[in-house]
Amino acid sequence: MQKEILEIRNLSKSYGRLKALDSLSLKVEKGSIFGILGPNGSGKTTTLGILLDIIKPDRGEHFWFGKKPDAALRKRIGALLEQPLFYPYLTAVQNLKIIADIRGAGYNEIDEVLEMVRLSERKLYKYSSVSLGMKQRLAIAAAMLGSPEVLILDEPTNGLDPKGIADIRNLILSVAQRGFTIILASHLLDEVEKVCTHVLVLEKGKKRYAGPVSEALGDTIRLEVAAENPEKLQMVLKQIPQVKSVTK
Amino acid sequence: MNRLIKIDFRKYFYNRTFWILSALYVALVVLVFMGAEAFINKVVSNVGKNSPVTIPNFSLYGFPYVWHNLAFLAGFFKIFLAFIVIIFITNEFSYKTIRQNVMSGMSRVEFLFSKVIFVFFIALAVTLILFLSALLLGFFYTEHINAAMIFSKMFFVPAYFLEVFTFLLMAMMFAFLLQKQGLAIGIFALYYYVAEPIIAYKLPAGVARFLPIKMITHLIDIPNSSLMKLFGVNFRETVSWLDVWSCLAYSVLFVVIVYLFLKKKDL
Ligand SMILES: Nc1ncnc2c1ncn2[C@@H]1O[C@H](COP(=O)(O)OP(=O)(O)OP(=O)(O)O)[C@@H](O)[C@H]1O
Ligand SMILES: [Mg+2]
Repeated sequence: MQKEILEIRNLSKSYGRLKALDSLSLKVEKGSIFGILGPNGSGKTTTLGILLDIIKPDRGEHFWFGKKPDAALRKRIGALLEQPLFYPYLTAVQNLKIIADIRGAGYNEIDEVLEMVRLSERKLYKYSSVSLGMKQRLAIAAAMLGSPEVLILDEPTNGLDPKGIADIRNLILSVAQRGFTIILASHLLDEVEKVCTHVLVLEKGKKRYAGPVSEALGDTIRLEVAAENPEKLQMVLKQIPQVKSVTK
Repeated sequence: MNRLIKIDFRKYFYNRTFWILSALYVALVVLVFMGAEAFINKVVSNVGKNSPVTIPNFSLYGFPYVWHNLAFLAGFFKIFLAFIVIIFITNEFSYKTIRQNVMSGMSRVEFLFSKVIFVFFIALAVTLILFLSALLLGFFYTEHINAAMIFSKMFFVPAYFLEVFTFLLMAMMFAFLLQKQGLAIGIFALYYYVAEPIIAYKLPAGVARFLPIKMITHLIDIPNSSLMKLFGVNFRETVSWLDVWSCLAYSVLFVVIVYLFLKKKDL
């Protein structure tokens, strides 16, 4: 049985003179919860977009399940990329039916995934009429249609309330327990630390670190953070035991 | 293919705008079909009041000429259909649902193909409307009908289908290439009404006739009328194979251009 579910070789992507992704190579093992961590604009969405054939790379290649990627392989991957994308005039169920048809999943799964994200009550509401958090949850439900072997979640807790965030984290953990592989992009160290087994740290499109989370945390990671009151932030940061040094 | 039809069908069936625009189109075309004869005769008799020769009344609906007359008339309203096509294809870009479709496992080629099917069905539906309208009006207004009369000029119906199909594929191409709804509608209308006529004017006639809109409208020429015959003008009452093949070639070209564009594009 092959261990790697995904292999990336030298992926690069530029927008004009901006190198959004600079020669990224990576392997993701089956069954891992793989975090992609980096500040805004570090290339997380670009990486995932390429893996889903939404974005075409300038150079490099990648292999899903050891094969050259195509549309059929994408049906084994469920994804939420950056923001929920649905037909605003259709209901949650109608939107999910379209996706089920694309993926070749049965409609009977729709109630199941809606239940998982606690959206059953709103299933007959028009997409345009539900709240941002509900849209986000619908996108997660859509990603889970067709029992994909890999779940790609790009900032899945965006716009969710604390309860919703906790829900999603539990969902991720329970999905992972069933042997699925999860790739989770986030700019929140805390989120990655709480749920991931492995992590890739990106900065300006370059790989800074890739490996198990435990080692990453033993090692030093440099993170840039900002706040309205830098002095106060500095004080707070210094009180966190894991933080080794704070510079301005 | 059934799967693609099913997926796309859901996108339009539950859309109110789609039904409103479709109903408007049908109402408009049927009204024009039914009112055209009376309207033309009224205008002609007004204009011809002082004419030394009596101008004969127009009869639009008699078999077999009804096929040609109505197909020609219907041709004026295909721009309306082009707007429907552009609206629904650019929607996929503004809602970014093309992304969701592709990342869920639809290939880019399948996505394009589903839109070609959409265009095909619209062309088929409006052709059916033309066919039924002409058939009914023909039966109603023709004396001494025989089968030969009914069938002899029916080839204008498939010609109309090809006219609409090619035209809508061209609209589809504009929608894919420009992606913004207002922009695509504006540029397409501009090309149709302004740009191509100017280009055609500048080019030698032998070349200009192969421009896409020229080619598409050339499929079905202006119908002859007793009035025109009076002046000795005689239009073509046939559909030429050269036109048919050129339109088919354009159809293929439009689809290929979109294919090449989509293949490399970030969605
Ligand atoms: N379509 C585009 N055109 C131009 N530049 C782009 C485009 N998409 C992304 N970029 C740039 O590429 C870089 C990487 O963007 P990307 O969306 O991958 O970042 P990210 O890590 O997902 O950030 P965030 O945390 O804000 O989601 C950014 O500098 C961004 O401005
Ligand atoms: Mg992002």
